[in-house]
Amino acid sequence: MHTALAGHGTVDVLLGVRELLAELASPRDECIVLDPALVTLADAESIAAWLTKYPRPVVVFSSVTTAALESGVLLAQRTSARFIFRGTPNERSALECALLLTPDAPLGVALLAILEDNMNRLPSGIRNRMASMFQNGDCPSSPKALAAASAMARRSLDRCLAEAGFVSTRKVIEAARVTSAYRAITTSRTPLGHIASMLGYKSQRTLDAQMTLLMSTTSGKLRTDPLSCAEAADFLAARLIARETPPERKSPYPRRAHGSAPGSGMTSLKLVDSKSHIRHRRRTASGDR
Amino acid sequence: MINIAFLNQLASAQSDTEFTRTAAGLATLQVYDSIKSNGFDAFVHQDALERVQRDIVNIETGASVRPALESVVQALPFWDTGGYTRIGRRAVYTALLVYGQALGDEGEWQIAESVYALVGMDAELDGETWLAAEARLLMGRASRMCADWESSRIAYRRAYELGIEAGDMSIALRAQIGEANNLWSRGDFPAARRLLNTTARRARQSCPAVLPRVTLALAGVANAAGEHERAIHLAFGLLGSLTDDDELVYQTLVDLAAFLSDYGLPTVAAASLRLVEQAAPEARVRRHARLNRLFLAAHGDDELAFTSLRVALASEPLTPRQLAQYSLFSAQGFRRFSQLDAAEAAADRAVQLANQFQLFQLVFEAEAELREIQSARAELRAAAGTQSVHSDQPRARTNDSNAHAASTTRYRSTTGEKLPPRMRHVAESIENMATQRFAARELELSSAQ
Repeated sequence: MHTALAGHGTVDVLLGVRELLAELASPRDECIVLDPALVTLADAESIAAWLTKYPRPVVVFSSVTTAALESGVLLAQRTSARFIFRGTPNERSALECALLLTPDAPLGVALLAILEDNMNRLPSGIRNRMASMFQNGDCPSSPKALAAASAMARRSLDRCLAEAGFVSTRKVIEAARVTSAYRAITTSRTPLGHIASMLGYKSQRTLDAQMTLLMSTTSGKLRTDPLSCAEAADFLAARLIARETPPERKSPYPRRAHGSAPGSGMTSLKLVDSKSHIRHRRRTASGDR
Repeated sequence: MINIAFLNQLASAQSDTEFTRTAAGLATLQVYDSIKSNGFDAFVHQDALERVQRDIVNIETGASVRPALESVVQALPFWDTGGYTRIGRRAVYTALLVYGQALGDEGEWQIAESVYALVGMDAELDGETWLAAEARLLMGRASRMCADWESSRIAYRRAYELGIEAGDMSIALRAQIGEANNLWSRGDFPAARRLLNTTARRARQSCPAVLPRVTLALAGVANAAGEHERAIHLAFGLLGSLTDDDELVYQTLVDLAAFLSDYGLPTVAAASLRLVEQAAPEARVRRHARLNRLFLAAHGDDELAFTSLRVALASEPLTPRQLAQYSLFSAQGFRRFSQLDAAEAAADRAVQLANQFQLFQLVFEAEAELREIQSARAELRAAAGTQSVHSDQPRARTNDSNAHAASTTRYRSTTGEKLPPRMRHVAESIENMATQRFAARELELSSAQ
């Protein structure tokens, strides 16, 4: 655990379930790492109940045994825990990713509340899969992988999401990635380039391009001038479902855009809009063919 | 499901233990295939799983395959459970990957390769990109061990792509290291070095945890290209910086021993290898260390150690590369200890194996060894002819000493004392540093035990 964190955090050890439940009720918001092999089914049930009451990022780091899987299944069904199984050569990097990119529970709740109408129009399988993506940050890496994980054809998935009012499957995945990075960007000192690579982006520039499209800001600006969860959720929801202009960000700093006078931030915003709109229309056209 | 690799392994099983182990693995994979296609049905599958579990009990305790198979059998009933994140499937795929690694530990790389291929395909179809990337990375290594270069290259490329897609640079960069290892194993040093330098640059930027592995691979290339001092310094530097990665520590010690012996410091190399043999947790690492000690014994004057190591390794499951190396080292040892007939037979076998598995560097070495044996034999004949005219000494004894002389003069020097004066100073400083560090580590080990 210490090695995976690599100096980006500290570890406190809780020795019993009672201590764990007390910790869950505390106002702290740190990530909890749990080995389900060490808890009984009854304990797992109480942990799940407390996690529903006090949402908290949870990483379940477990070996593959019957005891661990029995408790693990219960936690998977009733919480938004993220699972990593021991035994693979790169489990350390997976654990590092899960620990450093812990999702922000209030942001996930706020975003799902805004998207509730659209989510209700989705088939239950995809709805629940998407909800867990935004809550635990464990999202498939591509539309193809999301379709496979939802046990449906890629085109059916695209159609379902379009009918529910979502702009595109890719945008849903990008939004889930950005949501999972929000906490690391705003509250940690983890280098932004490292966060970008853990999210699967080639460089920080690529992450910034996605963040500009989804939240009208870059990772660096978000770190120095964090948006509130509600604001961030508004931005993301607007980009995910609406095709009209997203809400304007109220920033105390003036924005400078190429070929525009200092302070006229709207120019760049419109440019991004028109680009994304054209890209979306092109994709629809190729899909129709 | 018909799995050719498993059937081949069953057909060529040398013992009941090996047969039981392979049969239990095949039965487990058949149950997995059925559950994957039809979902878990307790009425159908519980009985089959119980029978497999009874087979697993017959596998010898201590084999890493046994707990790995138990883990797969325990995970299979959970296949369809776990809510929207489908942790049951993830658990099964992970357990299968652990089983593949256990097979690799036992040296059964062909069936390990087929297990990785199966998991890679199924995990990718299930949208489990990270697990699919892991499976392809492991498959690349298993294919390399089977000398299946093309499959290895394809597996590493796919691992790279999937690793990037899953956001795990560690997998992507390790796949590139694997590809570079393939390149230098087949003699393309410049391409391997270019790829490793690019990988090191990327690792520094995005994934520093992989950097030690890149350094070790660079040291391997340097050594293979004849830059032994550079290789040793890289490996020592690495050993000093590794604190929490046991697997890499032992790998580095094994490689360092190879560099030291190539440089001409066999005593220090043997110390390093003894350390690995004493403490490495994985059977394949200990086996590798033993094979390297055979090389040192073959090039030194310790005939007793040479014979005992040869006997010990004869019953070990070796990879194709290790098999070819085993024959080559045996040939070298037999020549050194004046058993020219046995040396020729072993060198012939080394050439045949190295050709069969396209290990071109070993083909060159084995052919050179064969030439050395033939010229030693010719010198022996010439010496015997001269002596039959001029001397009445017993022939067998003279033959032996001449053959020994002929063989030893053709060897590269194997101790620091025989090095040129310029290099002797460097060798001495390396030897001092190595002795101190190994002594310190042995002390650490004994206090830990």
